[in-house]
Amino acid sequence: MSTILASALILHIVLGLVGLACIHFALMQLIRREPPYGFVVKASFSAVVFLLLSWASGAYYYVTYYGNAVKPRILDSAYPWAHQVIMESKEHVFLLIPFLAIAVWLSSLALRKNDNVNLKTAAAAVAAAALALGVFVAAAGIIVSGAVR
Amino acid sequence: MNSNDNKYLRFARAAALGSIVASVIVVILTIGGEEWKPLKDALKTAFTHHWLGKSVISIAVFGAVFLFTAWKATDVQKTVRALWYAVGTAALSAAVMTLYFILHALGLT
Repeated sequence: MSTILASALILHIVLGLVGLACIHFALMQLIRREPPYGFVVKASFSAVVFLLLSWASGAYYYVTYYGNAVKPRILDSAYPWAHQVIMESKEHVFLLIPFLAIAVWLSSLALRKNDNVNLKTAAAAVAAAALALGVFVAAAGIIVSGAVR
Repeated sequence: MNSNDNKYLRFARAAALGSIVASVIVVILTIGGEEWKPLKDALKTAFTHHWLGKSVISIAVFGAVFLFTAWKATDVQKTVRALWYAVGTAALSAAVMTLYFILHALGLT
């Protein structure tokens, strides 16, 4: 693997995890009785940025390297399901997460101007959904990496 | 402040609606592409890789729905409903795609 590809993979993982941490920070504040919306806005906006950057770097690695070099090794290993189920699910579930993060960010901007308990609860639910799907994707990445070795 | 004066309320609802439609499109393109190879081949031809095609189309669909709905008047109730539907659609989409790939790997689809 070239240095550029290795960097793209590392960036994909690190940026994705930082994005998840940001959405987690936003969620932890949104479930408070009186959230600091300025912080929630910053955390959720950061989550959007990090997730989009993780999407871009992951796309470069996945499209230029994974299919030709990694996928055949997994399919020939004792764990072909790691690609057939885990990677296939991971790469497609990932596509849902940045849009949810954008909804959290814009909801927190709305809440800053118009605090409402129902809106706060719904925004927290969207953040929780984004976090849950993100944890699923991260765990799937660990399983796929393990299957390559 | 009247809730209709809050432009971010409209934007939040538009993002939720965009997320709902993008989720459905991702599921259709993913399962449809596996079950009907010409669809997957068309994505590969147009975007060099089927996953890139799904990425670009989902972003385009999200953007189009957002732009189409962001300027429509809304209130807190409508926005809250859209956000909850976005949660449900994303969870269901993830579950459906994962279940599909399990069944596909088992040769049941």
